[in-house]
Amino acid sequence: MPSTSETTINEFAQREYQHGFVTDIEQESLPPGLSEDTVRFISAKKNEPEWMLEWRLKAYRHWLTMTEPVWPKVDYPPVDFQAASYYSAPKSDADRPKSLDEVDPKLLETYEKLGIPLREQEMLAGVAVDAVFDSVSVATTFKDKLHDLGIVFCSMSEAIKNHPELVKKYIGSVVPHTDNFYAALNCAVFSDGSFVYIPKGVRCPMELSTYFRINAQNTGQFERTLIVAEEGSHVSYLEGCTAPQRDENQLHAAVVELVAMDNAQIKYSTVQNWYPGDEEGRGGIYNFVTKRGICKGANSKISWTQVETGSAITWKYPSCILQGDNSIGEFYSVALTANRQQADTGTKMIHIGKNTRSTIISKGISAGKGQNTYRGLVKIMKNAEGARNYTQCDSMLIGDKCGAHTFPYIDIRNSTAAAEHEATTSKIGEDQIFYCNQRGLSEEDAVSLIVNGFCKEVLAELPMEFAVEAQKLLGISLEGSVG
Amino acid sequence: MSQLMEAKDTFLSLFDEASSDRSGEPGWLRQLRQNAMDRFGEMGLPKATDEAWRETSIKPIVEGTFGRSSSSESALASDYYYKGFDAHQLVFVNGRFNAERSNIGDLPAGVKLTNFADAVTKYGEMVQDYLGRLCDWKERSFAALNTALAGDGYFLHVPKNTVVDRPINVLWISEPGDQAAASFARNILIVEESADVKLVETHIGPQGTTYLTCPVTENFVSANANVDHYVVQDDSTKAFHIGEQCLEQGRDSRFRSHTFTFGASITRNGVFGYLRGENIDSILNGLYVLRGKQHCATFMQMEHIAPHCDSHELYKGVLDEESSGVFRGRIFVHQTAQKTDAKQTNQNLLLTDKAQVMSKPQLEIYADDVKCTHGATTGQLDREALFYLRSRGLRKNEARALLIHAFASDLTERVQIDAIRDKVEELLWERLPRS
Repeated sequence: MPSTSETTINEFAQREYQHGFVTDIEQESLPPGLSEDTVRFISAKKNEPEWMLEWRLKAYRHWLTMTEPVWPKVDYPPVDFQAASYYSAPKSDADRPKSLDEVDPKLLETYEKLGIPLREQEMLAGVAVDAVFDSVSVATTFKDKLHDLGIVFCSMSEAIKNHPELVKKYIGSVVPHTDNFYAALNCAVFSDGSFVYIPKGVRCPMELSTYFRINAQNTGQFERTLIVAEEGSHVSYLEGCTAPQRDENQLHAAVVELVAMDNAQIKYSTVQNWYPGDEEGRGGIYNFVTKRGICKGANSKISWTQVETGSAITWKYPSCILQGDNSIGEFYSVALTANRQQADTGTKMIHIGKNTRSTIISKGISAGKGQNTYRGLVKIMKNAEGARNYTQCDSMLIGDKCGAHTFPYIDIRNSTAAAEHEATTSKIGEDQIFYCNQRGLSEEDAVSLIVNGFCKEVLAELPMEFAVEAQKLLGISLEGSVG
Repeated sequence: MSQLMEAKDTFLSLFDEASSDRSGEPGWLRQLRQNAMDRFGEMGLPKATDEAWRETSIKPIVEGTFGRSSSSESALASDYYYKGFDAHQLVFVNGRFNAERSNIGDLPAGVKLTNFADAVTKYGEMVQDYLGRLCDWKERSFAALNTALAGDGYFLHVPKNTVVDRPINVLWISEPGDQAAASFARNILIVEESADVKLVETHIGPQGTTYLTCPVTENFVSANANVDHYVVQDDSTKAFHIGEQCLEQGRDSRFRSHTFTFGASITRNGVFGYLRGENIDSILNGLYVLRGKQHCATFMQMEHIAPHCDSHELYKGVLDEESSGVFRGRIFVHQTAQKTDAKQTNQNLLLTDKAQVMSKPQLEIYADDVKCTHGATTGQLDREALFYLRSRGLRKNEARALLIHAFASDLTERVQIDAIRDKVEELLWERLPRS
């Protein structure tokens, strides 16, 4: 290998998180610890009805009986669940940076590279925003438009207050509180999240992402999202943001539930870029997420797209239960691990209905000492006649100290089903870099180009403006100390 | 759970019963057996929650009581199973070496081929040196059980630069009689530098009898050696076959293995390979053709430790009626194993709705300059191909048989020894739909 590309690779391997910065905000926080009182406190703080508190307590009691899963291929010191604080709300705007001038210039540089508009930069950096600020009115316009169509889009707490019947009906219906250790914990102490309800036959006129970004709120570490798409409706939702997110909490356990009725379509995209920790992985975020969608009705479709570049540990398996006949599940993923990041991510496709189809495209990139694992289950039940699955897992290794692993589980119980699984592992070839070099591209641009080409199939699934940002993000995430 | 304990006790008492057999053995071997039995005592039989055994229920094995069979006579032993097979023949009946039936014949100078018990006496030091080196009995229940109860098996040592022309056929016949019996064959195959050998392990038993057979083979393949290895398993469909092949290869060596599974109610083929030298070529293929309620699980781990090694695995399954198949393969590429070329393929044909298959081809890679791929497909017969054949005047079953045969013959055709290929083909045709 030519020494130049080695240098570049070394730089990648040692790249630092350029976006990390600390802002001390005074918060109204609970002292660390978890007990029934904590759960009661959170529920009371949010003025929740009795049934919600009962539900939380039921989950908490169940959680006590569960043990932490150890099967993922990730390695981290045991989490002390009593040492974490389970409620914190930002207290006032007074201590926030007054303007962008006070924000870490490095961070602004990243925003600049991602091409994020100035106003949004202010929001993201947590600058105290004037109440009569433009974006608020933009948000209100959006809100009115959605309201006219009968779409409910609000925070989970608001939904519990204003649409209790909907929440009661669907919450926990896809991911019950008994599902797994982290889901149970989330059910007990979830802070907030989003609730989306799309009525029958409505096609949501905008990417809910746009709205979400302008209204970026501190949803806390235990997010809970619920999206219900009624018959014939259509919605595209984007969670997270390409911009690095500010967060003080180390442990994250979110739950996302999607419900699609007859002919409904839900497209859920995630871009996750939380703090991955320093070179040795210290202080990074632990991201234990349970995401599951159910295609309840016939001809429904759920599509997951994720770009995972952040967090020290990612443990995430967005799944589809294909219950309705002819329903479709899709999973597109790019997971990037550098330094000491570890990711064990993949999907589950449970085929129950007839002629159900699923596609899994997973791209894993490991650099530095990163460990990247794809773990996916394709289960075709006895009655899923004509079910079809196609899985493709490609891994790319940059440097010789990282690891890429593929653990597919294929469980077929129907003879008319067809399942295919393919996986490949490759590295960035010297010849590829050489070719780019002689065409005038720098090493770094060449790597970025090749990685983006590698991920193209997935990036193409993202809403357009985010695809562009995600592409840049991959480049930035792989960047060495070279600015 | 208590049943598991009872079953464990059965095996523990088997160990005590066999103590008289061991009295003549050297101290180190008795110690090894004792250690392995102690370890088995700690581990017990695999539980349904053990990741490695999740898809394979050993309930029937747990519920069965297996004694020791005293009979060393067999009606099946009259021929050597294969027709016109010119080979060095070793015959084991109910886990015991049967010298009368065997016909080892003339071997090239220096080649040691005998049964395990004899080898312990004659080549004690060598056996001590190799026994248990590859088979990780501290980790796996049945491996521990085998090490503790290791009955008779074969011992083959091929010295440097020696070519054994005629293949070696080792035939295990299980004919336990009235009481279900367990046998634990332990085999050692040592092929020194630049040597060449072809070996066939054959397991048979009369239909309708119940027995448990747990063979373990440790294959040591030194630099530049060449080994052709076949396993043909046509046990009684009421029998249980829990086998293990352990493999270690040195630089520039070639190991080709073909495993054919037709029999047994529960089969488990463990394959554990360690590629320790550079430029190794390792081919591990397998075919399982199941019907009724047969279950076959392949559990494989290939460790690439040295650079520039190739390992290719192709496993195919034909599953009829209510049979079930499991394939769990893992290619583990160490950081040192740059330029690895590994390929793992598992293809399954489901012939009915009640048949099921679970496929887990896994890659664990710690080196960056490697070419690793795996693929798994599961499907049914191509309807268009069926239609084409029927439009040409073939009956439905003929057309099906032809297509299934085409799918499976990919593996049978790779068999280099005519007599083995003919037999495997015959076994395959027997299981295809008839017109």
